[in-house]
Amino acid sequence: MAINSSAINYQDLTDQELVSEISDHNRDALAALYDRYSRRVFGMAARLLNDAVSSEEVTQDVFLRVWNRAGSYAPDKGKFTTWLFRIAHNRAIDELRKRRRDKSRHADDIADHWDLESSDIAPPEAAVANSEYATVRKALATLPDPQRQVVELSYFKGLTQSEIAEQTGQPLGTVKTRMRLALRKLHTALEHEIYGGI
Amino acid sequence: MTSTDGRPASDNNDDSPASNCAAYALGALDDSDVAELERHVASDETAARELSAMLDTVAAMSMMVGLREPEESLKLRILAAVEAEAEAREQQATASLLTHIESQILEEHSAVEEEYRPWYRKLTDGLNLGRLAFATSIAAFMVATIVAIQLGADNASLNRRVSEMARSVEESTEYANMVLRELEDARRGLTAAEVRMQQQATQIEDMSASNDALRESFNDQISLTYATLQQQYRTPDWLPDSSAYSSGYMYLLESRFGSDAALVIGGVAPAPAGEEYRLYLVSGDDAQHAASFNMNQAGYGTVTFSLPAPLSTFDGAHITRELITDPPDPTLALPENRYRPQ
Repeated sequence: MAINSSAINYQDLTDQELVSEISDHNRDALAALYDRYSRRVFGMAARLLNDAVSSEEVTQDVFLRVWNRAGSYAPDKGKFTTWLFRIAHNRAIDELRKRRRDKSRHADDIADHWDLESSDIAPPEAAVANSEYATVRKALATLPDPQRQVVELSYFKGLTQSEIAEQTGQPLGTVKTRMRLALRKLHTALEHEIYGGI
Repeated sequence: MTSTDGRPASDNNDDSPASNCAAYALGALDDSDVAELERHVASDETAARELSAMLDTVAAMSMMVGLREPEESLKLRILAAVEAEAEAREQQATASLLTHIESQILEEHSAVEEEYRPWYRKLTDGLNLGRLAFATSIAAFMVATIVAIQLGADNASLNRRVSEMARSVEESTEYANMVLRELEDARRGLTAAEVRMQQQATQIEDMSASNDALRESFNDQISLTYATLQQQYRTPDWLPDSSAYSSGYMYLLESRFGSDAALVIGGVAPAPAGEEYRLYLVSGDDAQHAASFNMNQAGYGTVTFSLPAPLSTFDGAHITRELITDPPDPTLALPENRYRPQ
């Protein structure tokens, strides 16, 4: 349903209402959605890429894709944030894979990602960011090492399951099973964040 | 136990598409397996629920792993890109609309062209008439020549007549060429009208009103494309020496554009010194002076003049021979030296 754009505060609209407006090419709605999620999209990209320029490119691509594909978002198929951050994560790991192809990245340790600091945001938000990230780390820490390894290699480094099998020397079926078990455990560990909102 | 590619064999034999849900959610599924998994999930509710839960889990991780403020200019760049994209989309839509309008205008133009095709036929008829006059003159010229040879007569009058006929052939040829040029002008006029119609097509907003305007414009152009041909014959007292000529003739031609007209006259003796011929256009009892002219020694003359009104509004014409110093006075009864063609 269209909303009278002259008399509304877009910050008050739900994600779904904003997406509906964006599908009608309402730029104010896109600006509001950007204000709501750009820091998390940029933060996730920065966590994976460790590079502000590339992270801004990823963030720009994500919101342009939202602009162009808002009409394809189906609320009955899942939450908006799931749709948005799947786009964002896929775009970030595309960038990681491109770097691997170009062999342009030298510092390639997973530890890079752990050291990223949230120094460029306000202290209260930095505290939230650190707390949230600590929650993810804590959830990952509950996993057996082999399961945590496949999640880290896939989520943070963008390796496919075949590449992980090759790199770790494990059978592909084993990698699949470890991924599946790991995500089920993470789902349980993060259930409050998933369904309680972040 | 090892697999064929050298890696250890799997400790789990679940190779069903559902086993790929986790890799799909993590973005780690090989491209070749993505379509198969999506097809499977579309028909398997259990797999769909599992995939949905895994996607939610990965999305929650993505929301929690970082919170950083991008450069302020990023938002402006994104909105500018969106703005440019919207403008491009609008331009594309406008271009499509113009293409549609252009095609409709061309269709309308074709219909109008068909409607005015009879005018072309009239022009062609005029051309054919000119050709007929040309052929007739040639035939007369040949007959006169043969007669002259057979009789062996050194008749000065006949020779003059033959000479006049030859000139008549030339004039007829000129006339035919003139009609040809007018036909070509008509075609160019139609081409110009077509260009104007296409230019108008890009400017109109209302198709219906625009098409009507173009049709009227076209009508105006075509309605001018005609010529009037009128031939008159002399009366016995037209010429001082009726034995010298067998006939006289007069053409009155109206220009297709503007109000110009031309008079072509033949078979009339030159006016004596101090006198001239005058053309009057007659409408009922009213005779308007249209042009003054004279004949050459061969008895031919042409004059162009501006019509006081379209030729079709007059019902006749006559020629007088008057003193140059006399003002034209069409209300006078015709004296002996003024002639009215029958």
